[in-house]
Amino acid sequence: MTRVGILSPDAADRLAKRMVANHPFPGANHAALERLLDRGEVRKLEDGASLCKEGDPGNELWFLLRGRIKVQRKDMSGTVRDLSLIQAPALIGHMAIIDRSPRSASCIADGEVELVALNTDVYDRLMAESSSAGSVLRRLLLSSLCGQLAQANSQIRSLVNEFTPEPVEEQESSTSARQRSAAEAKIEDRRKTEDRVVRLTAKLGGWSADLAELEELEQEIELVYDEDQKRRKEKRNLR
Amino acid sequence: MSNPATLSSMHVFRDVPQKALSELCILAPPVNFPIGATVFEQGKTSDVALLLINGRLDVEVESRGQRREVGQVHPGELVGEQALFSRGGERSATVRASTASSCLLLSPEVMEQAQSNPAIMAIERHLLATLARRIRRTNQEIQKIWKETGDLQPPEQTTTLVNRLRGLFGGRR
Repeated sequence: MTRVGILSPDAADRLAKRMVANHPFPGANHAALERLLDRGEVRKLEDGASLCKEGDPGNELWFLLRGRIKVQRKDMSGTVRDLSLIQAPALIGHMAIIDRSPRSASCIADGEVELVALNTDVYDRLMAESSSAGSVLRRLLLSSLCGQLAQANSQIRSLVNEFTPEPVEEQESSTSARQRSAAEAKIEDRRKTEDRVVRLTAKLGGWSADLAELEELEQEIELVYDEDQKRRKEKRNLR
Repeated sequence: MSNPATLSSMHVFRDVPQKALSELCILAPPVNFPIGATVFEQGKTSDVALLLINGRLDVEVESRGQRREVGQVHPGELVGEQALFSRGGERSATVRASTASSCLLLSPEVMEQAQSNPAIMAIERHLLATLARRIRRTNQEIQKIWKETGDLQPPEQTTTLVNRLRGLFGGRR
């Protein structure tokens, strides 16, 4: 993991505007969020680098600025499962810092990643501050938790209400073929239910991003990032 | 009945100066609901949350013509926070006063104007801890159910899982 330093004003502005658009809490304003991002540390991760491991102490939360994070967790049988792929812009790792619990999943960079990290000390100071940065952090987290809960409840209702195993149609085929087909249908049902429960627990754990317009967002972020890199390079050359 | 002195006796406001509570009461005067009054109605749009000061509220959900009580709200607890902090939309439950009740109504306007008021900050911190606890508990419960149903045969496993989730959160039978 490389420490880059502070976030460039352009990148902070773009990320803040997107985060505020995704989380319309009272008093949401991107200038305050930019001030909040200024309090963090910008880091870069290479493809495949680990951001955190399941069971690690939760001592940071992250604003994903650029790239994708793969979230994995061991399931009941001990098999590592992919929970989700979170794309920028997103807030991640906040559950563990709010209640100081261990990480409930492992996070790995999927391609190059750039993020802003807020550690426990900065988080605690902001929680107690009446500044606009403190207020925007508390409300952003509340908005995120409310969204997690609302979407998880809706997934539970959908799982409960819509789940009806597909009946196996009686066909004029041999008994063994019918039995095979019924067995396959049962396995498929089980697999679907498993996937839905995994997605549900990922949503509740804050390990799943809102997927709306992500492609468009990512392209925009890539563009800002490229421009930002170009400017940094020009600055270095001038020196 | 509800004044800054009443508020200061509430756990959520234990460290908040009286001056901040007085300012909050001016900005958001406590609202009284008589017994039986509807506070929120399922399906109606709204963007306010409510902090119960005195009394008790019943929460019920209607599904396919059947009303089901899903919980109660006690003094010091918030209700309706999702409409305030997430994308508004429709109320997911009906909330009624089961005794004469007094509440602080937290609207987006109050939240914007009182952004740096220590009483609002205390409510936000309290709500963060409450929501995080509720989310963890729900997640642990789902994973526990999932683990316990893991050894059953596929159709039994799915039926048991769905029935137990239904028992937890309600839903169509």
